[in-house]
Amino acid sequence: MNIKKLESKLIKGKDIVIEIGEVEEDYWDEEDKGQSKPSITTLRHWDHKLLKRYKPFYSPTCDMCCLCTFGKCELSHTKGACGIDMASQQARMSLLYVTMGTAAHAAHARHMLEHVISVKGRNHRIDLGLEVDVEAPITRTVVGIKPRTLADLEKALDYAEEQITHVLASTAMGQESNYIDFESKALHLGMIDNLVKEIADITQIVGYDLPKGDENTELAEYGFGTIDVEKPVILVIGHNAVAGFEILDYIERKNLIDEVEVTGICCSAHDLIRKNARAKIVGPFVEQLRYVKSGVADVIVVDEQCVRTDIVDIAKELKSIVIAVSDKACQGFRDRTNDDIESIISDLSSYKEHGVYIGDPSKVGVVAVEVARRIYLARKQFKRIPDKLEITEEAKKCTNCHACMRVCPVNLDIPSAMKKAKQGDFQELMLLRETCVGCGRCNYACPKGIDIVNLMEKANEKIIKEMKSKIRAGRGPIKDTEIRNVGAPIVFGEIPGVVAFAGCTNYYNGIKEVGEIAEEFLKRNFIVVVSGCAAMSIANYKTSDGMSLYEKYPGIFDAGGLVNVGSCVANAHIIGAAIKIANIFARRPLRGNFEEIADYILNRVGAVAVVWGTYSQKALAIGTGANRWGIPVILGPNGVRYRRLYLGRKDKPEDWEIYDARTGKKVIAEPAPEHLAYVVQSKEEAMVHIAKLVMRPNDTTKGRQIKLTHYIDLHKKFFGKMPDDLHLYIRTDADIPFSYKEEIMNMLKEKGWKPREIPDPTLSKKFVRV
Amino acid sequence: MLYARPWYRSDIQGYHRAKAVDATTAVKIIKNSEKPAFVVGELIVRDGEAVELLKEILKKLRNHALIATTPNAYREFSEFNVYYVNVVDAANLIISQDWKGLDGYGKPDLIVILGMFHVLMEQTLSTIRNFSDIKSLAIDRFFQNNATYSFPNLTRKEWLNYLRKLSDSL
Repeated sequence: MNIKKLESKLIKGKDIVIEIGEVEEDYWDEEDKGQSKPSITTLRHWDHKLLKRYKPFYSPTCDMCCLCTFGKCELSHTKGACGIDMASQQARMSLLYVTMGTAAHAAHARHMLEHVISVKGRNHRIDLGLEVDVEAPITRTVVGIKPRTLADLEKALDYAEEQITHVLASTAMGQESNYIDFESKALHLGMIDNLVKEIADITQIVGYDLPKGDENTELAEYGFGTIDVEKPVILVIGHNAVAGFEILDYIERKNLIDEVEVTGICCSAHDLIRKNARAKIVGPFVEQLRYVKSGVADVIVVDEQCVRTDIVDIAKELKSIVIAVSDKACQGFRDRTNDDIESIISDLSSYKEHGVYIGDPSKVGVVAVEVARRIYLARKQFKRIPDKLEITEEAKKCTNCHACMRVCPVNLDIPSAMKKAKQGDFQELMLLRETCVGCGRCNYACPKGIDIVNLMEKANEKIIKEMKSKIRAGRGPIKDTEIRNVGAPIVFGEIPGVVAFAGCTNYYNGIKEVGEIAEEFLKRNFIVVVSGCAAMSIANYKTSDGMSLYEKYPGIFDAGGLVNVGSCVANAHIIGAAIKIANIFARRPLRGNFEEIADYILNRVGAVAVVWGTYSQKALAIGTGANRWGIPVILGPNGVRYRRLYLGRKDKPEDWEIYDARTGKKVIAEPAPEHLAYVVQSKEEAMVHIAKLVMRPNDTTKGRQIKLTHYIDLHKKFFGKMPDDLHLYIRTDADIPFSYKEEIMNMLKEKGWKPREIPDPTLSKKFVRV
Repeated sequence: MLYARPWYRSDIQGYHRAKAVDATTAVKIIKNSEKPAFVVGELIVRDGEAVELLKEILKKLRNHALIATTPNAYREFSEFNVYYVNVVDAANLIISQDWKGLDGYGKPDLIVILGMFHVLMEQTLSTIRNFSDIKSLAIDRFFQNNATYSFPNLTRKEWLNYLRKLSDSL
């Protein structure tokens, strides 16, 4: 607004320019509790409370700091040139991992949001259906807005990106020095990671009409054996399914659905089947190298995250065409974004180029399908793995030097298997595949150039071809109606717990263990929620009656339900469900109210996350976010390589001091949950700890009885004895499971146990009600 | 003097190198320790012959050493009145200033360790090495670079011989 001349009693002036940047319309009447858009220090006090109880445990993978030219510095029992010590350096490195992971999810959200806005417009409504009123629990709590349109999500994402910048800045030389404060920043970014995942998933739900909490989503086909290799085959790898959606749209428009196979690996595959259950999932990350090397895919579309960096080289050898679609992973290809579609198709089909970068997803849809249709017949010769005679000949090259074994992350005895294979016995090679993580390091290490991965595939050819299973398509959010049904039983402990499986496939003992753990807890009437590669690994597992767990158990968020929320970004809905319990069941307000919600979850919601096959930085970001909300995470053995855990000490009662919100008195509670980030060595240990980590100080006596029954039962089953810490978890006689009463009473007598009151637990004095 | 490279090519932490020791030296190290603690992981249970040798060793040391197993190995060694611990919990306690020891009478001065998933053993030994002064001795088949002392990389036959020698000499 321009005002040439203004004369009033207060102001006199001329040539005044008034600019109004943005009108903030506040259409949410909930009171803001003061923690909206928290800075990196707003919730620092909460983090310090958590970290006082759950102290960081560091296991350095390297004694050096190589981050600046003042070094490199050796930090073992000394300090670096900048003054940093080992603990702070480890905290800094794990914070960098969290930052990478969060940035990957945030950039994913930004791309998705920009694309959907370009198609649907900024004012496109966020509507997750009649049964999902609390549409964005994390956004509501952290950003303090109730998003109605994509424009609102943009504001939330702006805030998140600013936080990532601030936190990343703190890791530069000469900035943060204290390990607890590094951890506080990691917890902060973990929370931001959860936020940006929620933004990404809501955007794709409303942008592409994905399921909105439907527990009966379709069962899609899973496994190598479901793919018709006689057809043109497209493989989509990565996490951002926009290009994959365009492929499906094009196929539908052209009525090619029965003519072309659209297959996926990793999270893009999850999102493809959420859009159209005719798409097929090959498997999780562990299958990526194997499947690409099988040559079955005519066209490989790589988007972002978890894409192997050797895909281009392998594809070139097998005459598979690669289309890169993400600016984060251009793969060295020429940018053909603005070129004519027909010329791109022609260049690729004639192998003038073996790959291209196309930044326009709608072009990718056409190019991928048409190139696959043109080249698939000529590529048939590449869709094969060596025959048994070839394996024997290849194995004869092996000199038993052990180079393969010395790089194998799970120490597979490949030399022994090769020795047998030389004599035509493939049994050991066959068994190796069960535990192999599909990384291919053995291939690269072999001085004779033996393709060990392919040999394992051939030895398992029959099993691979018969690998057919079902996976329930990801449903997205948990419905408010479901929360109303289960809120009370979860908080009071009558549903024993919620177990959430997330993350990658770096399994130390094979893919089957995730399914085995999930089945144990489904049978025990826990709610099992799954996402990402873990959800696929579960599809890989068959019950004793030959069924997939998805066929056997319902997709409802209730006792005994197996809930697949979808891709990794969709696992924001799992944390969302815990928040909704505090909001919908316990009527805790959300707006700018992080601390109260997290305090509620920590003390009352018996949820635990399991990341059994950790490898990515994103998995650490996801887990660290869960920790800030008060949800403990169990990691498989490889998780120790993240360098940092958050461990409680049950032998120190003073660490478990809380307030009784009814009286304001400080009381010593049980160590529940005992740890926030924990590593176990075996699936049996994982199961026992899941049963233990779902205990919360707020459990009713009936709920505690149920939880203790599972804990004792699993402990006895796997370790052959009663747990030795039972006395810590029994508050009154009424907590004692009836079936173990006598045994426990004797134990309690020996320990000098005395009954105590059950408090209304809170970590923060400000939530005391008197 | 024995020389060994880490079993995994990537197991290079920095300046530190574990000292490779044979069974005779390992016996001396254990005998010289005032308060040794054995931490036995579950992978040992897969090898019956190794279990029997380890039991012989533990029988001889039951009055001298504390014995802890990871939970999955507990059943196999319960006859020795063992403590059972998660290996990460164990490392966390070992490096804590205020921990009074498994028996309440002070921390061990030597951790003798075997039978764990390599990564987990490597990382927990890194914790102990970097955040305490307690010595460690790895008696697994593969050289553990993060330990203070470790058996070198051995074939199974050689390893069983090393364990036999420990059992005979302790």
